[in-house]
Amino acid sequence: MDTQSSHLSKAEAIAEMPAPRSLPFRVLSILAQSPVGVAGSLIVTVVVVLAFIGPVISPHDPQGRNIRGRFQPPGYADSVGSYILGNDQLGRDILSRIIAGSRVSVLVGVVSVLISGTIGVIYGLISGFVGGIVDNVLMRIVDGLLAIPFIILVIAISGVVGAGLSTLILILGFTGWITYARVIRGEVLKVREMEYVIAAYALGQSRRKVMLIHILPNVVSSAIVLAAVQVGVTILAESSLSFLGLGVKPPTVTWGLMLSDGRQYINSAWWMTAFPGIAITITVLGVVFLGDWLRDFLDPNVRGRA
Amino acid sequence: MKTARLLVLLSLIAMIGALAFAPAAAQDDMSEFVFAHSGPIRPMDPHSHWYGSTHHLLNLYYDCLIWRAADGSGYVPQAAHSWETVDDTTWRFHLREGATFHNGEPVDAAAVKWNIDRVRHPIGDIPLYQQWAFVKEVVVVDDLTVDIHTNSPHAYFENDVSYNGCELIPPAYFEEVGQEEFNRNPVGSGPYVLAELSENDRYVFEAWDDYHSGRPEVDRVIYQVIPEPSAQVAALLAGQIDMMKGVPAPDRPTIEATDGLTLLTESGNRMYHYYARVDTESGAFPETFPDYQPATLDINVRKAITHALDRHLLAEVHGSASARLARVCSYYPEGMADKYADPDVIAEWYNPDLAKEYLAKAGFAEGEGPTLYLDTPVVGRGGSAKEVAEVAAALLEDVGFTVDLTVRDASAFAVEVQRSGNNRELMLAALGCGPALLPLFYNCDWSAVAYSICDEDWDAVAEAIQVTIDRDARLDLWEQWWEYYIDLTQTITLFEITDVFALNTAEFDFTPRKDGWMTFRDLKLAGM
Amino acid sequence: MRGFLISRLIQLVVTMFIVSVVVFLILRLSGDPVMVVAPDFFSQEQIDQMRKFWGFDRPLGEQYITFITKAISGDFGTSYLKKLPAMEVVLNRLGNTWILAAASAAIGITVAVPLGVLSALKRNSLLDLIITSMSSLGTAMPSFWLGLMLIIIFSVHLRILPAFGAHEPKALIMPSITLGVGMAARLSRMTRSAMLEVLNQDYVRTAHSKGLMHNTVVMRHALRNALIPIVTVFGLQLGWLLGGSVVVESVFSWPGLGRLMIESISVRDNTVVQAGLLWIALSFILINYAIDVIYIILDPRIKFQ
Repeated sequence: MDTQSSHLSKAEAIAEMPAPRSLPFRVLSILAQSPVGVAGSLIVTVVVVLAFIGPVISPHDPQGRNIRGRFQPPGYADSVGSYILGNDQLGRDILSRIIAGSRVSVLVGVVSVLISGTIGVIYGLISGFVGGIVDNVLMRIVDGLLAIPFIILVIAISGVVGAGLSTLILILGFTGWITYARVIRGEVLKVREMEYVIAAYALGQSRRKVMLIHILPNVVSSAIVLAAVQVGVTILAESSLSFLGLGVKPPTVTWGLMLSDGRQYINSAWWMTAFPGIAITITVLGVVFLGDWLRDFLDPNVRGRA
Repeated sequence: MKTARLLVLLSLIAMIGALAFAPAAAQDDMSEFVFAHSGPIRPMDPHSHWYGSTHHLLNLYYDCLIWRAADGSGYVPQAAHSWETVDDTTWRFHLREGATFHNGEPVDAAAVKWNIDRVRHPIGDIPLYQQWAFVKEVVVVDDLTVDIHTNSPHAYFENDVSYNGCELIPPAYFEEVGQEEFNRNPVGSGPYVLAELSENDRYVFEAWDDYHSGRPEVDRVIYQVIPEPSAQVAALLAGQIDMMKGVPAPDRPTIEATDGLTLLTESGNRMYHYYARVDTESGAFPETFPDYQPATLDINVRKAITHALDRHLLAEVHGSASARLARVCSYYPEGMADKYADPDVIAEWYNPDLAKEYLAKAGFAEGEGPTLYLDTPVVGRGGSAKEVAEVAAALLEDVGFTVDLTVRDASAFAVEVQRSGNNRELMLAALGCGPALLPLFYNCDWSAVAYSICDEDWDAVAEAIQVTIDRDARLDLWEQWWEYYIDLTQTITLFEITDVFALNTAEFDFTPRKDGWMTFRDLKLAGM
Repeated sequence: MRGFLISRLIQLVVTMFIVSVVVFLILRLSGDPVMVVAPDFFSQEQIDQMRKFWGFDRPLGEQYITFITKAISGDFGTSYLKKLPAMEVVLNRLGNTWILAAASAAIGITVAVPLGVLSALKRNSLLDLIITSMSSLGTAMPSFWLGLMLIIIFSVHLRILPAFGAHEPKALIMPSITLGVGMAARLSRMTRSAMLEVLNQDYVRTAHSKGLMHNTVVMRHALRNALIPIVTVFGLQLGWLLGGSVVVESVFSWPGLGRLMIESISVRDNTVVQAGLLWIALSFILINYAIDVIYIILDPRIKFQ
């Protein structure tokens, strides 16, 4: 769990590694030394796998009703089926719906972070690399957007645009980039002053080439670490929005929507609320762990900024 | 240790700040009734909006001339102690001697005229004037007598004159302070005065000693906004509130099993319908879906739809509703309880074979019916429109339709579909069920997009209803009207919502009103 | 230093200007509030009349200029639905949100800082493991879900805490814990890593080697220096707190700004949404400006360009 020391030990581990092996093997062996990394990647792998093979292993159709046996607690079974985690107001299996919901979480997390990451990195690169008045203007815009808390900004936009799954992904993508822009710009400013970049200029390389070949690769690791953090933030944001009725709409199954349903019956069917929440918590915890590990592994400098 | 002290200081400041703001609860011996209002609660100026659930609480605070009886049987006096017709187009109201507003201003004929003139003219964005367009002129006869002249004989005069906007406000005070200040510090003439107002959160009413018909029995009535039904139940079980409306089905056994709490049911005064699109011109439809020909243009398709829907099943899925075919609530005589509210008639109406026949008549081979686009809001008023739509879609598919269901949240639904007229084949409409305005909605010259259907003969019947003051003659006309309604199948009625209330019967005695208004002039203490 | 403060102040004004443009554009491009506000049976003519009354028929640029000139003098227009000045509607609710934010921040600070320091000092111990695990859990848990769980336990089953409202002090307990937990989790993670960094630095080692008492070293030297990044995070966390309060207020029917925003957004009461968003942004910016000032107090050595 200790980020500082595990970072050091990993650096040592890399240095002391004997003959160079294949890259996957190296990554795995480094990962194996960090319990946090192991836990994180295990959780994330399980969730991603569930998202893909969900329909195959799901005990019930996530939309399958059981009108006669509704609101049944965990462990209930009748002629229609058995419900390990209980069922909901239409008799739909909670477990199957949690499995189905993993798909949306993965989709939202990955796609919107790809969008926001791409925008943010480009924005930060331009701002940091061009500098001067452009940098100043671009950064004031970022300040302005940062001043409205992320979730409120997203609520305002999705409230007025009206969201579905794809709109929601776009909204999260197009609002999440702000975090990257700042960090990447900072990294660019640092890298820009480094000797080899100055040397590259001296050798007569074009600005574009310097940016793409020398600067971009050096800020990518920060971007990846940030992206891991943002995946968690995005999953939480999706669930909040769907919970408030401003996000994904039924019949798509998402954990946030399950919570929103469950809230209505919170006085009599706690399982409708408890289990989807646990699913979100575990998933985000996995992403947080993985992010912690990536941060130590790739880039100790970004710590604490996101 | 400086930094440690700084930390402690910071937290202390924050905590003191939080506690200093937190108001203390009132403790005294007055009887206090708390009703959980689902919100939102709109402004206190009663003439500035049409939000029914706000008028519920305004009714404690303001008198109207007359008011609907709680049991739906007729009308009762409020500011007017009696009223009569002078001729077909003139109604005379006799006011109470010495009656005043809470601030002492007299409730006299001039005040009544000022109020009705205010609400029947468009001022600013005050939107109620259309509902008051039936009034031609208000004439002050003497201090305590006022005549209302209508443009033509007006069948639903008493209904309309006790409708939203009927609340009387003191003219001199209003003109002195203006609308904004009036919304902060309203003045009425009803049995309760407003003791505390936390906007859209908590409204504390206290009994007014000088009310003309006597001080009400319960000292304090509080409307507390709690949007979530589940939170209302939690508050009820914890003893924080005394009454709620719309108890979720799974919580009902818990409440029934709790000492001192009782469940009550009454018509919810809302009905669910599907509107079928019967034209291609109205609303934004022609721009949004150019050249699209909705399947429901064909009356046979519409008839197939109405016979494909098992209304009893849909009502069951909704959780608290009774199946209906006509769109006026069953307790109104116009709702024709025998003919279209009879459960057996409705059960027979569901006839998949007949639906298939109509589809065949419309030229579709068995199992190859047209695609129906069905738009529905995710939270309909008073229930789960989403689940209802899902089951309705399954029923329609059973007879050969293909259904494309789109679920939106309520405001997106309003903006994107309902208000803009972007509905295709079917759209859910959750509506009030009074008969007064209904004939108007289906007139050829009615402007709102959702009701665009035109039949000259039907119009003639509707016009006759509007001006027939004799009740029996009017009900005969209604019978004809319903034939057109059912036959043209533009509005496909599904069911009438039933409200389920929970009441703290250990302390209070209350019968829900037929009109569904959560207003507590008649509230009594238990055992008295 | 004065120059720095002034240049930050200018930045602040520019930032607020950008916020106002963004907020205005989001709301105006989103469609027409009249469509939501007008009743079912309104004719096109009546709708046009309402639109004109509220000035929606004017060009966008003109609407913005009207909006911003009035906003500067404190007039954010009249709420379409509440018929009160939008500013007043927002200010009525702001107090409740501050109560909630202050209580949550108090919980956050009092829990997070000692735990963060402790886990840094006892690095790699079981205690450290427990604290860091709990704080990771706190970050991963959706705050509204925690709120719902608290309601199930304390309102529904134990029936000892109110599930709604802000009219009695007891009602503050659950919402502030719900928000405070997330805050504490983030802050304690930050405190721990900031402390670790400082503890590794030369002057702390020197202080130790000079034979100073352990506690004195921790308090006087380490924590004080670690406070700088902690205070920064605290400032940013206030943004998180305001955002989180939107959802938590909705769970607990807490009559604050967050619930007001959601209500107003869903009915397109745009004047209120504008006023609310600008107030949130302004308080966020001002607090972070104040934090810049605290920086200087905590560490006079900080240089400014």
